Amino acid sequence: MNKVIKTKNIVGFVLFLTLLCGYSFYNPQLTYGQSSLPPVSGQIRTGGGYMTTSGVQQSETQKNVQESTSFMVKTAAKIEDSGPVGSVLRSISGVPNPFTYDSPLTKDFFAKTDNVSGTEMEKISQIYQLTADAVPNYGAPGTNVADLTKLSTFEEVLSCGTGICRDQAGLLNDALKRNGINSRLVPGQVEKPGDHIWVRVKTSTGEEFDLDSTWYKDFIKLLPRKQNPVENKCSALSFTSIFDAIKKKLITFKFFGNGGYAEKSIKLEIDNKTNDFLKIKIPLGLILFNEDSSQQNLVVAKDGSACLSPGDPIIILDGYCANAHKDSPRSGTGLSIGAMAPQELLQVLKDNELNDTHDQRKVWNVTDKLNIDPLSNKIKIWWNDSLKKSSDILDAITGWIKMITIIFLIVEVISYLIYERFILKREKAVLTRIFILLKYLVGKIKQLFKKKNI
Amino acid sequence: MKRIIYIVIPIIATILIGVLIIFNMNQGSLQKTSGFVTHNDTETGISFDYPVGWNRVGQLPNGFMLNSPEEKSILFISYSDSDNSETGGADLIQKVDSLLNPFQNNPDFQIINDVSTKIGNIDARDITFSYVDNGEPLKVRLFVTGKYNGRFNYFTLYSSEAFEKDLPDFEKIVKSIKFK
Repeated sequence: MNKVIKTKNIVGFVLFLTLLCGYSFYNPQLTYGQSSLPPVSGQIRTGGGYMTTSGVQQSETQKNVQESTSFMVKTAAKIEDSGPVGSVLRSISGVPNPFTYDSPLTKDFFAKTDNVSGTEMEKISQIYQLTADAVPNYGAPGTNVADLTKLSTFEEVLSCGTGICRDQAGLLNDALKRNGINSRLVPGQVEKPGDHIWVRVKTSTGEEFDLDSTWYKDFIKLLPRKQNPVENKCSALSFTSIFDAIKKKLITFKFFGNGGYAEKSIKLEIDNKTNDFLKIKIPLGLILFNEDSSQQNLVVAKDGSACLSPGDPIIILDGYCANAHKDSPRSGTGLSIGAMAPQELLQVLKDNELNDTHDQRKVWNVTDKLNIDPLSNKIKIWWNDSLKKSSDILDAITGWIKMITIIFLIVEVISYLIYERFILKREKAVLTRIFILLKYLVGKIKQLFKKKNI
Repeated sequence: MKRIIYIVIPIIATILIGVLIIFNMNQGSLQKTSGFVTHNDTETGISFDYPVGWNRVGQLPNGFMLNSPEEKSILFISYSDSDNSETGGADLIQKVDSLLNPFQNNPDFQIINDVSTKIGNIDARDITFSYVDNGEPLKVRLFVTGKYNGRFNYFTLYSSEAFEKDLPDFEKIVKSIKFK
C-alpha cells in the first residue's frame, strides 16, 4: 500500500496556531532548559551540540524541512504577524497581541535591535544574535513543557528567555522588520517531529535565505527551504467528490469497519486509477451500510479529504454508528455506500464537534428516530433531503415524475396482459408472446457470447 | 405487423422500467452535499446558517473557523470580549474603524464596499476590502454586527484573490443571522 500523502480534514485550533511550532530539535532531551553552550569560533551552536557550517547544511538536507503551501497554514502564520492582516485576525479572534512594545523587557530588547548598525547583512546578523541570546531556551514561557497551545506575548517570552519556535521566529521577524529588512514568517513541516516556523529574508540585493534561531543559536544563513512538492502539486488541484470519482471511474474502493463504534471507525481502501495525484473528498453525512445486517451502519462524521498518489492508499475516516440496537461494527466488515444523511442528522454532525465515544449518544438520539437502514433510507432520505431545501424542489419534482412514469409503465403492461387474457380471452397468445420474447432474448444472449468468444 | 407491436411494446416497457429504476437508485444514493446547517451559539446567543460543505476547523479563543470545500478560503465566526454594556449599535462605527486602523494610509489597502445595514433591530456594517500582503493579493469581507449581550459579532471571510471561486453564499449566511 502506498501511504496517504495528506489527510487534513480537520485542523483544530491547537493545530491552527500551534502548528506554527513543532518540537525543538532532533535532540529531544535538550528540548527544555538552558542552552548553555559557549560560542566557539567556526562552530554553530545548536540544540544538539556544535556543528560546522557544512554540518548544518547536511543536517538541513537530512531533516528535509519543507515550506507549506496550504492556504490554511499560511493564514495561521499571518495571525502572528505584526502587519495589519495579523492585527485584524487577532482582533476578531480574541488572540492576545504578542507585541508588548510598551512593557519594560520588550522595550529594552527592541531598543537594542533597533540600534544595530553596519551593512544590511551585518544588521541581520546582529539582530539574529540578539534574538537567539535573548531566548536561548525552548518551551512555553512559564511552564516546564513545550505547551504549544500557550499563546505568549513578547514580554512573557523575554522574561524567562524561553519560547517555542512561534515565539522565537516572531521576535526575530519583528526585529528585522523594524529595521526595514524584508522578512516574513514561513510555516512548514519537518518529517519528524512535525510542524515548524522560521523566518525568510530577502535582502535589498535580492538574496534570499532562511533564518532559524530556534534550531541554530549562532547566525547562519540557510538555503531557502523548499516548498513541499507533493503539497504544492496537490494545492493546485481541485477536490473531486468520491461520487464523481466513482462515476468517472477514477477510483475503485472498498469501505471497511475499522473496529469500534465511534471516531476512527471507518477504513477506506482506495485505488487511484489515474496516473496522477487525485484530490478526493468523502463528505460528512455519507451513510455506509454494513454488509452484516446484525451490525450497525455507520455515518461519516467529518469530511474526509486526501490527496492520493497513483496507487492504492488507505484512508481512515471518522464515523459514528447509526443503529443503537445492533452490534458494534467489527474491524474488516465490508460497508457499502448508502445515501446522504438527512438534514436532522447532518445538523447533529456539523454542530456538535463530535470528538469521542461519549458523543455517540448524540448521534444515536437522532438515528434511532430516523431508522437508518438500507431499505427505509433510500426513499426516506431522498425525500427529506430534497423537499426540505427549497433549492432542491425541482429535483424532488423530477423524482416524482420518474416514479409516476415507472408506475404508469408497469400498470400499462399489466393492463395489456389482462386485456389479452380476460377480454380477448387469448391466453395462449399471451403465453406464446412471452415465450417468443424469452426465446428472442436467449437467442440474443447466445449471439453475444458467440461474438465475444466467451 | 400487430404481432410485432405486441412483442416490441413489452420489451421497450421493460427496458424503460429497468433504466429508470437504476437511474433513480443512483440519484438516491449519490446525492451531493449541498444546503445549509444552523449553528446556535450558546456563548453569544445568536444563530446563523452556514454551508454544509464548509468544515469547522476548531476553536478560536472567541469563536471558530470554517474552511472552504477547496480549502482556499476561511470564514471566521467570532465575537468580541463582552463589556456588559447594553445591546445596541452606538459604537459600531468606532469598532470597525479600530479594526481597520492598522491599514490606514497603506497603499496596498483598498475598500471595495462599505455598507451600513441592520439585522433585525441591530445595526451592522458590511465591508469588503483588498490588500496585498507580501505580494499575495487578499480579499477580506468583514461583517460586524452591533453589540448584542455586550459583544460585537464578526463574520469574516478571508480569501486569496487567486481562489475567488471557493466562496460561500455570504448573503445567505448574513440573512440567516438571528438574535435570540
